[in-house]
Amino acid sequence: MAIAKNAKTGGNKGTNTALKQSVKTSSLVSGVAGALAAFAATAAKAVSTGAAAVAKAAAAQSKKKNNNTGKKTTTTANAGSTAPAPAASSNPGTTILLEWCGVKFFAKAGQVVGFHDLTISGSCETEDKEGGGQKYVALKNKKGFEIGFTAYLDKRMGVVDPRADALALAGMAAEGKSGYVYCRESKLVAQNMMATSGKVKDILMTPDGKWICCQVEMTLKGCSKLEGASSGDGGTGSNGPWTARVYYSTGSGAMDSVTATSTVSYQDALAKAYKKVPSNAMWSGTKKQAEYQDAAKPTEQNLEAARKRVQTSTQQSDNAKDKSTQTSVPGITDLNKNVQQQKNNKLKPVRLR
Amino acid sequence: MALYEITSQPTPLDFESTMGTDMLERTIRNAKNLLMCRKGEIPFDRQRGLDQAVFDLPFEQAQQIIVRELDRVMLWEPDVEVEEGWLERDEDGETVVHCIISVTFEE
Repeated sequence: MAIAKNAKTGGNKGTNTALKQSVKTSSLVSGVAGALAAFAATAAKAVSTGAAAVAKAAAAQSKKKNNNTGKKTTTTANAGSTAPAPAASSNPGTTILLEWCGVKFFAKAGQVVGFHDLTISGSCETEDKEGGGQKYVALKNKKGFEIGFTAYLDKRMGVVDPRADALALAGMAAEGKSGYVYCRESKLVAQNMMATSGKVKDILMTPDGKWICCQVEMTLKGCSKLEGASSGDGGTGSNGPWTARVYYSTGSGAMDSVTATSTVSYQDALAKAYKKVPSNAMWSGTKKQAEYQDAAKPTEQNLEAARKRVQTSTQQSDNAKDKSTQTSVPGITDLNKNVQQQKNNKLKPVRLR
Repeated sequence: MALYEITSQPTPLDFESTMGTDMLERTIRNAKNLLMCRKGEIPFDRQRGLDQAVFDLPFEQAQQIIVRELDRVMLWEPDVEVEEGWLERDEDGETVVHCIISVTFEE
C-alpha cells in the first residue's frame, strides 16, 4: 500500500508538469494530433519515471529486509532459525548426500535431513596357519562391507515428523531391508547393504509428547557377493589392480578378447587393452559408433579374406556333395556325430527371471 | 576383480559367437542389451530397459541418478553388479550411457 501511495504522488507530480509542458508545445505545434501525441509522450515519460521510482523504493525495502550489510546471503538453516531462506540459489536441484532404500539425506534451503558418524568398514575371516617354522594367517572367508551412520532428525531443521521417520528407519532394520548406498552420483560400496540394526536414541519431546528431535543409529551389512567371476590379478575392492577386457572381431566369425591390467586405474587398463587389439579388428567391445562405421568399411584385406572364405566354403560344399554320392547315407551319420558333440558340450542353462 | 565397460551405443552383432558356451560373454552381452532396451518397449515386460526420462533431465541431475537407474536395469541380469555409471556427450550431441560392471556367477 505504501508503495502504491508513492507511485501516485510521484506520478501525479510528473504528469502535472508534463501537462503544462505539453500545452506549451501544443501551442507551438499546429494541429490537435500533434498536441495529443506530445501529451501522450510526456505522460508516458512521467509514468516511466514514476515506475522507476517505485522500483527503486521496492529494491531499497528488500535490501533492508535481507541484510544490514547490504550483501545478499543464502542462509543454511541453523538450529532455531525460522526465517525463510531467500531464493536465487545457483544450484537448481538439491544434492542428495546419502541415499539408501529411498531414505535421502540432503541439505537445502529450509530443510536439512542430516547424518553424522558415517563409518565404512571391511573385514574378512582368517585362519592361523603354520609352515616352515613361521606362523601366518590365510584368508578363510570374505565378510564384505559394513556401513554405519547416525541420522539426525530435527523438527527445527525442517523435518516434518521426526517420530514417524525414526520409527520407519527402525522398522526397516527390523524387516531387514536391503539396497545400495548412494553417495551423490556414485555408489558408496558396490554391494547390496542390508539394515541389521536401527537404534532410536536422544529423543527430545515437548511436555505434551510431541517429538522435537531424535537420532537413529543405523548399521548396514553387505548382503550380496563381493567378488567378480573371472580370475583377475587379485586386488581388493576398488583400490586393487584393475583388469580390463576388450572384445573384438576380425571378421572371420570368431570373437576374441584381450585383457590388460593396471594398478593406476580402470581407464588406464582399458587403454592398454585397446593397444593390444590387432589392427585388422573390425570392431571391439567399447569403441564408439563412428569408429565402428569406419571399421565396418571393407578394406582390401577384409575383402580378400572374405573371398578366401567363400572359396573354402564352396570347396567344402563340393566335397560334401562328392561324399554324399559315394556313401549310402553319409548325411545321417554326420548328423549323429553333431548331435553327440552337442550332447557332450552341454550349455549351461540360462536362468530366466 | 575383473571389470567390464559397456555402453548404450549399438554395436554390430557377431552372430556366430552367440552360439558360444562362454557364459561370461553372454552375460556381458545381456547386460549391454538391457542397456540398449528402452523401458516400455517390450510387451508383457514394460519395466525392462533404461528409462528414457533420464535423458530429459538436466545433465547434472541425470548424472546423479544414472547409477540408481542402472541398478534397476540390471535387476534383469542378476549376475551383473554395477560398479560405476556415468553419462557422456557424443560428438553428435547424443548422450551415451557408460557403465562399468562386474560379473559374479552364483553356483
